[in-house]
Amino acid sequence: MRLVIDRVSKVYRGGVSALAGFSLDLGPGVLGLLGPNGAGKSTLMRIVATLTRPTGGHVTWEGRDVASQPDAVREVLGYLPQDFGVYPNLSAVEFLEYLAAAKGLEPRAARRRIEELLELVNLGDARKRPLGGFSGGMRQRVGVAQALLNDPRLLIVDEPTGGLDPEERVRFRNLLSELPGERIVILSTHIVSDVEAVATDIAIIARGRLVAHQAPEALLHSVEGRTWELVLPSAELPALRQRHLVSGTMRRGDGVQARVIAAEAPGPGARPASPTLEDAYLDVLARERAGATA
Amino acid sequence: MSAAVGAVSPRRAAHLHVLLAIARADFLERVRRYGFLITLAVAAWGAHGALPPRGAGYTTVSLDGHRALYNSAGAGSIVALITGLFLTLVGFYLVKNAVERDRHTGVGQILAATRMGRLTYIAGKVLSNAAVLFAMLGVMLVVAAVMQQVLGEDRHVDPWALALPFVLLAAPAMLVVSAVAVLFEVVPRLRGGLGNVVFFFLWAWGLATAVPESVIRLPIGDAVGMTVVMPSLEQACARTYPDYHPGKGRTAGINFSPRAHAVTPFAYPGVRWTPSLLAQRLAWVAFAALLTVLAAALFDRFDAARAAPGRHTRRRARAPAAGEPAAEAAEAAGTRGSVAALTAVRRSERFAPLLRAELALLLKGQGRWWYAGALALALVCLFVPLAGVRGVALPLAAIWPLLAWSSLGWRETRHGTAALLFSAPRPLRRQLLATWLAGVLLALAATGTYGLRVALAGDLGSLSGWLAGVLFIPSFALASGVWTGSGKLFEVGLLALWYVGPLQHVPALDFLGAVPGARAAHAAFFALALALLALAYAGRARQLRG
Repeated sequence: MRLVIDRVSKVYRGGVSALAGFSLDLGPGVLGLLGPNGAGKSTLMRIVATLTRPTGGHVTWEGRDVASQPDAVREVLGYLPQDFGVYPNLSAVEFLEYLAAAKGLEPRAARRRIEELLELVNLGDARKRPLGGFSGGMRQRVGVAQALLNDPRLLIVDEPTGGLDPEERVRFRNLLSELPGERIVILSTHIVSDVEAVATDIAIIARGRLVAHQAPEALLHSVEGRTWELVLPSAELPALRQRHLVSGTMRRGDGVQARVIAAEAPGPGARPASPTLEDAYLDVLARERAGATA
Repeated sequence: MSAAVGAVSPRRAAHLHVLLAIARADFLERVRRYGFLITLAVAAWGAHGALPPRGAGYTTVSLDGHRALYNSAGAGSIVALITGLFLTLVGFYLVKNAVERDRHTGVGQILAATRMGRLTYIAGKVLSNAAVLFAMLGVMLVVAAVMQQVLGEDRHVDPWALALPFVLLAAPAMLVVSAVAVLFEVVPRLRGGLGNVVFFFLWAWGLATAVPESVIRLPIGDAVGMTVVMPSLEQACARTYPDYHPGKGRTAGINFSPRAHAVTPFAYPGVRWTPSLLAQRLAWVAFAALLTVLAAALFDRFDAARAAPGRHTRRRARAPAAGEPAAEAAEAAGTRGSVAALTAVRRSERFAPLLRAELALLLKGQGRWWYAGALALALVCLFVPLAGVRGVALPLAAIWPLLAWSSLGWRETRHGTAALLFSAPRPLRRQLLATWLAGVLLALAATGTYGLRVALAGDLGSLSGWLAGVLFIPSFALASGVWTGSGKLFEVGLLALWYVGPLQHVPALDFLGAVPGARAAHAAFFALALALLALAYAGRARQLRG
């Protein structure tokens, strides 16, 4: 099972470049695709999901080009877009039955799976209600259910936790980590904690380019020994930000506790801290920005 | 004296500022699209067609074989009148999305949270609608001036005589259309396809009041100004051709006739604007203002809870919305069970389940009365003598599912399900075909009893016409939905065709087999159905390419 993204570019009308020579070679596992807003994540997801054609490069699924043979990937694809709608007059069951028919699933087994999926995302009690009355979180869970309808071998979830409360986010992550067997999952987000627990690989995208592709451990290792914590008066925080990358702050009674990424101790009283994925991610982005402006 | 006499109070100035800001933003949002340029180009083409040269084979405004000379007054009056006739219909569908856009994008919620008043908002939207229509009028005015020079019947330019018909005839009509469009948008029942249908009949009724023979004559004349222009044209015609009798052979619209080649001009000095005529036109402006106030009073300020009681509210009562206890309880519990334990599914290439699902989606939301009406019409088509069926029952049966068909081809973009459906396998060969076939099945069900009768009677002419209609209607709906991203073109296009063709029994436009002997039209509509289907296919393929 292999998904190859080979030097993919996308330039929209008006000359706006969303992707520039993006390459990635994926096997089974969960890829956390991290990047700031506007980095090109959704464009990449839409290209892999056959909804947008690249202006350069190729995406191949099991050796077949998804632009020229889109059904090759559509047959195994589960896709949860960043923004999607529902038919408000249909119930959750009717909507999922319609999508199951569109995906060409055998009706009887699909019906059973729909009931189970709705229980899984805890919409069992609401399954016969019109979708028009669902909250944003409930609709998002219908989206999760539809993405899992055909037991996809390639699952693409684009900013899946937007609109979910913290409890739902945790449950969604658990659901992703439970996905059994051989499959490729691409989890696109700008929220590092979403991928922290489930990703087997992390790719970081910025300005349409791949800037890092590593295992989470390797990414953490890259900021090992460069992560510090120190407490300083809040008036000194702007100056600290000028000198170093500050990955987090927390107000305390005696000032502000700052988390800093720096090669050497950023000030008196600074003590080494255990790096987090967020530290590593921000460090990669800062270095990419510095490289771009150099 | 504390303030200068006539000075605008700060409060009023603030309201005016907000109103103009709303109108300006809405206008800019509309005109900064390629589609608007196309609209202006079509308007220019329409204005050019309103002044047919000698030998064109058709007339627009004619009086028993005579027409106004194309001097400034003649060109201005004819283009303004024809514009009024058609732009009052097309313009409504063009601008009827000002409030809906704010509702859909969520901008309305932001505006509703400000101090903006309802009347300010609604008046801003009416003004924006009017600005769009006035921009079109401006283009048409320029084209009228150019055509006067190109046709060269009288090249002397009298700007006043040229522009006045646009200002006093077309502009008030556009103001009324702008206000009606916003009014329809704020009345929940008229917001969708039903409103589009209602407006078509309202427009047809409005035109009927302009005909001298009409039983209903409004004291303020008609919105378009036919009752103002036509008498003055008739007087001018009678001065040049004394044998002409006012009222005889008058036509306004697009009329193809053998006599069109021999139409003769008469000098036309334009309408003599008396205070009474000016008052009539001002009354229409006042009517537009009244409609604006009415719309403001009915405007829900984007508060869904104020939706009119009806089917939607009742359904919501059964389905708790976000924030209500049942919905919150369902949310709090989160996921349960295991992904690994889910029933395995396999792919099946069977087409029937998809067709069934498409048909169910097409019919979803239709009430019991809708089914009762459809059944009654089907029975009438089966048992009433054929002549009566062809006159009323068949056309009615064929138009009954209009609003169901009008969702074809664009409901994916309307409801935001395109990404889910277009990433499923074979969205063209399976999904689009199933969508179209569901529409065909609906047409068969709605009019099938008539088809059965003419088949049993061996009336192959009517049978072929009926079959052409069964294929044509869903093809038209699908193609216009895919290409325009809206159901409006189909709704108004089919209604217009239906009104002139099957209902008025014009053989060339009979797409239903309601006019015996219209075989050429049936063959044409059959070919058109296939062409529209191919167009829908091409449009969907284009959408899929992203």
